[in-house]
Amino acid sequence: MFLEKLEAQGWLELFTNTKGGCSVSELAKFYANCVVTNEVVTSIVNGQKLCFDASDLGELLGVLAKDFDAYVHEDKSIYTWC
Amino acid sequence: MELTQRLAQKPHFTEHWSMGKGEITPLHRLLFWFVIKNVVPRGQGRNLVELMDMCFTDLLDRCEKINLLAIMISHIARIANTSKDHDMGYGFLLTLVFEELDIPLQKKVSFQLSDEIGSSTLVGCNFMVTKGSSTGLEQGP
Repeated sequence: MFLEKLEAQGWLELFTNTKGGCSVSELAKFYANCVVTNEVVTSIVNGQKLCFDASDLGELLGVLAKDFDAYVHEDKSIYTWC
Repeated sequence: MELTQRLAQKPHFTEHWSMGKGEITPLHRLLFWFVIKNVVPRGQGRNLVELMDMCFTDLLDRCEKINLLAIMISHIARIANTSKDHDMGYGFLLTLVFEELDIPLQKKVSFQLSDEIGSSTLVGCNFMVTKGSSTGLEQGP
C-alpha cells in the first residue's frame, strides 16, 4: 500500500533505487556554499559549480514538477480549511 | 479539525494544529515518517505532527500530487540560510544530483538493506512484542 502511494506521486523508482546512497562530505560542501535566489539554487562542490531550479532538478531526478507548490509561496491561507 | 480527525481516526479528537506521532494511525505514521525524512526533512521535533506535516501526510495518503521539487528548492534555501542548527536534508537526492552532474564523490555511504522487520518497527505499529516467542505478537489497542 505504501509503495502504491509512492507510485501515485511518480516517486517509486526514485525512492526504491537501492544503488543510491549519501555522500556526506560533498553534501556539507554543497550547503556551505549554497545560495538560493529567485528559486534557483547555486553552489560549488569540489570546485564544480552547480546551478539548478525545480525544472532542472526534475530532469536530474526523473520527477515531474507540477501541481502543488503552496509551501514555496508560503500561502498559509490555503490551510484554513484544516 | 477534519484533517486531524482523519489522521487520528478519532471522531471526537479536538486538536487543530498539531498532535503527537502516537495519535495517528499506523499507515499515517509511516507516511508522516516519509514526509519528515524525504519531503520536508528535519532533525528535530520528529515526534510532533504539525499542520504542514498533516497536509503532506494526507496528500500522500489520498494520492494527491505533491510538488517535491519546488518544496526541495524552498527547503534547501531554508536549511542554507537558517541561523539555527539544521540537519543537512535531502542527502540521498542531492547525492544523486551530484552523480548526474559528474561531480567526483569522496565517499558514498550506501543504503543498508534489510528484509527483516525489527521489534522497534513492530512496537511502532502498535504491536506488543513478547520475549522468546515467535508467535507472541498481539495488536495493541
